[in-house]
Amino acid sequence: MNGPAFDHDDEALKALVRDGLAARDRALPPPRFARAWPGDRRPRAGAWRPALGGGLALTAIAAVAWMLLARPGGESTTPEDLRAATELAHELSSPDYWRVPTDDFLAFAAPPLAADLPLPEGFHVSLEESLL
Amino acid sequence: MRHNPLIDQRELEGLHEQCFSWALTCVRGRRAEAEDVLQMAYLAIVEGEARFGGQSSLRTWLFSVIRNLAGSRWRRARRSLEGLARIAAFAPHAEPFVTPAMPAENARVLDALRALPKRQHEVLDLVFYRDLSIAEAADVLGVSLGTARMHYERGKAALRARLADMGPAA
Repeated sequence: MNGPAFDHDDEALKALVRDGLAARDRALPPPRFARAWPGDRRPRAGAWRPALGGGLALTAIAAVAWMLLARPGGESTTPEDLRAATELAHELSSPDYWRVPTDDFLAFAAPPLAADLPLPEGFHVSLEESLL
Repeated sequence: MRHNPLIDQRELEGLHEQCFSWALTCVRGRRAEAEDVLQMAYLAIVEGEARFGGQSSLRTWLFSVIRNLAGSRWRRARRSLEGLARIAAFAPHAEPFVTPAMPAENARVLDALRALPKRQHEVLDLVFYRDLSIAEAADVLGVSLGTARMHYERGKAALRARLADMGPAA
């Protein structure tokens, strides 16, 4: 009903297009239906994403492990380092360490300001005057 | 099929070759992309994301599903860096649309088709190669009959002009 009416030129063009696309389809045959049919499989379009995510996670874990277990300078941990680290850990965990002199700061009162602030002329105007 | 009771898997299998060919057209001849798009279309059918209501022929409906998925996939890819790299890698000059073993005349026609605007290319493919009516092509493309007819006429004229510019096959 709505089909195109092909004239002679159209028929020639149509034959060219058909031959061209048929040649393309011969050159690029379809995969077997069973291979394309999903079944329980997911499309392979996003198959790289879990692999990429896994790779990034492993890289992050390796980086954190390297930072924790090996020093950036590549030197091994000496007994002095260990002792210093232990002392530091002890100081940081002591309740006194966090008792900063907050009370002194709170008790501090700034002295009153002694300077006279200059007042502009006519600053003292009553509310009634300001409305007039 | 649970989500698409009107579709018979054997019927789909019978249309598989045509669907792959149409997917190739939708992704401008990139085989791996066409396989992915077709697989996504089948998955959408199995999982009920695409539902066939029987208003059109199964073939027309399948073609429109494939075209929509190819379009959305391309739009998504275009938004991502990966997509930018792909676009650069598969710019028109780099499309593996024409193989060395292909006769020169066929290669010339495919080159000329590829150079057409997408909708003109698609409507000529549907009408000339797959024997769809212009109304069916309009359904597949998701446009009005008048728009499809306009793309068809302009596509024919543009293809003739391009083939004339290219001269006879060597």
